Amino acid sequence: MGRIFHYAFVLTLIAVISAGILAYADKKTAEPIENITKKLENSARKELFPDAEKFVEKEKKIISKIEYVPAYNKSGEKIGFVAKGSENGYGGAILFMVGIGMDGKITGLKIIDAKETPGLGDKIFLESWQKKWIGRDSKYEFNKKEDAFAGATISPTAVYSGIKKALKNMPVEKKEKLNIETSSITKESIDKKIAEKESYKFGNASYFDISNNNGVIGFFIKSEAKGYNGKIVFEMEVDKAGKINTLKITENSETAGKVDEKELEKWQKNWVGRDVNYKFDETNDAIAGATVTTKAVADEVKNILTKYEEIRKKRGWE
Amino acid sequence: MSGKYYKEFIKGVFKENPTFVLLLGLCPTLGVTSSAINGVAMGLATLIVLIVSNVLVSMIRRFIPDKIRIPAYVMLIATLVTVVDMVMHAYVYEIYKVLGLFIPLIVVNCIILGRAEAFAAKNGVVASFFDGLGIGTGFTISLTVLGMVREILGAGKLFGINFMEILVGADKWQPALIMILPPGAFITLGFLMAGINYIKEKKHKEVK
Repeated sequence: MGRIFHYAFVLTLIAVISAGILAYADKKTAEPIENITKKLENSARKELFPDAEKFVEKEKKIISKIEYVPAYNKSGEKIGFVAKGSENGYGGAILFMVGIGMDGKITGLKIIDAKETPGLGDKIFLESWQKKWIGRDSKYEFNKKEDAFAGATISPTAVYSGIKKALKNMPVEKKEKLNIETSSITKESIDKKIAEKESYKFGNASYFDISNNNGVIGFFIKSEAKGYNGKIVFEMEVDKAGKINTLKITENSETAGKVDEKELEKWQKNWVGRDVNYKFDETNDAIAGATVTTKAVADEVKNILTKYEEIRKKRGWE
Repeated sequence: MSGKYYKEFIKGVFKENPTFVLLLGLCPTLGVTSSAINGVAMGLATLIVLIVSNVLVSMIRRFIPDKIRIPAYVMLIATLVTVVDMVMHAYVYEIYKVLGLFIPLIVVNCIILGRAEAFAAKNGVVASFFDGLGIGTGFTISLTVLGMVREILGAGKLFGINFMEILVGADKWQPALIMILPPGAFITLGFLMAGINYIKEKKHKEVK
């Protein structure tokens, strides 16, 4: 019996000492290892996105298991994402990173880890093959002649479908696509100040006080209308007399290409100076091919202005 | 180096070469020797762990009861390898990048346990050190040779240099892919062992 306890004691002692050493080593090395991992990831990202200056880990978004880390250039502008994902190949998961510009085009591809057949599928590690993907977008169709290797189609196809998923799920907000800045209305005159909290809210419309040194000079109104494909968010400024100062569409999900930006800008300018008495005129005010959308916005503007008259009464601006 | 320790060292390289004579640790041998540099890296990583484990086992050999020596050694080796892995990852990343893949494989390499059991448990610390050094060196040399043969035949390269293409021209040279796949490891090992045994036998006859 005594012997058994002796054995147990020795083994336990070794186990405890081992565990202690491991815990200590782990504690000591955890930070440097994390730093190295971060540094490596950043340099890998930089390789994929040469134009980028900074990658903000905090703003990472995970969409269908793909990690998107936004990339910023020197002036702090968001210029794209580096996406990390995995796709099953011939010999297991293929881990890849792909840089995607704001225009949806690939800026670089890197295979991080894969266990494809040496000499066949593992040619996806070749730099020359990875470079082929630069400039392609989600519309690109896999070309067997060009993109596959003799005897190895599964591995490159897997990378292709992984990339395609990454491109399709890219978390781009619509206003980034349209490139209209939300704050542009207020940018025009610096001394104007928009209240942080809305004073009134009717339906979708929120009314914010605009004031300068002399007090309130009008309202900034943000609202949305239901268009042909979904919501259209727009902003307008209305002065004390009830006349529209500016109107701007900030977000829209309408059929792309139907309305070009110049036409939209012209259309927005037409609204300047109009008030509650203005009647929507289909021939003048509808943009060709987008009648439903323009009408929806016009209707919402009319609603907003009608309610605005009540506010004017309350404030004694009549 | 006194004669006794030199003997411990040199026996590991030739007479008791772990790969070609003892046929120990074949799993990493066959698995990673698809190129010469992989062979060197795996060999060196094993060499370091082997020396340290041999020395440690020899040091504590008097405190470990015979019946529980195997679990005790396994725990010791696993701890050692894990610590080496973490420390290298944290402080010498450049080396870790090359060796990192192989370090966890060392835990399952039976050479380590084999030497702990067959030598370090019965011999002094210094002798165990030289035994580890010798066996480790023998292992490194064998893996490097295997890796070189397979890389030349399977990829037309040596240490990453594309010398076959330079030598005979890219269009005239077609690498034999099988050589860098697992079967190529068995084929190469078989031929190398046959060659070594042939030389040995010839020498034996000459002596007679």
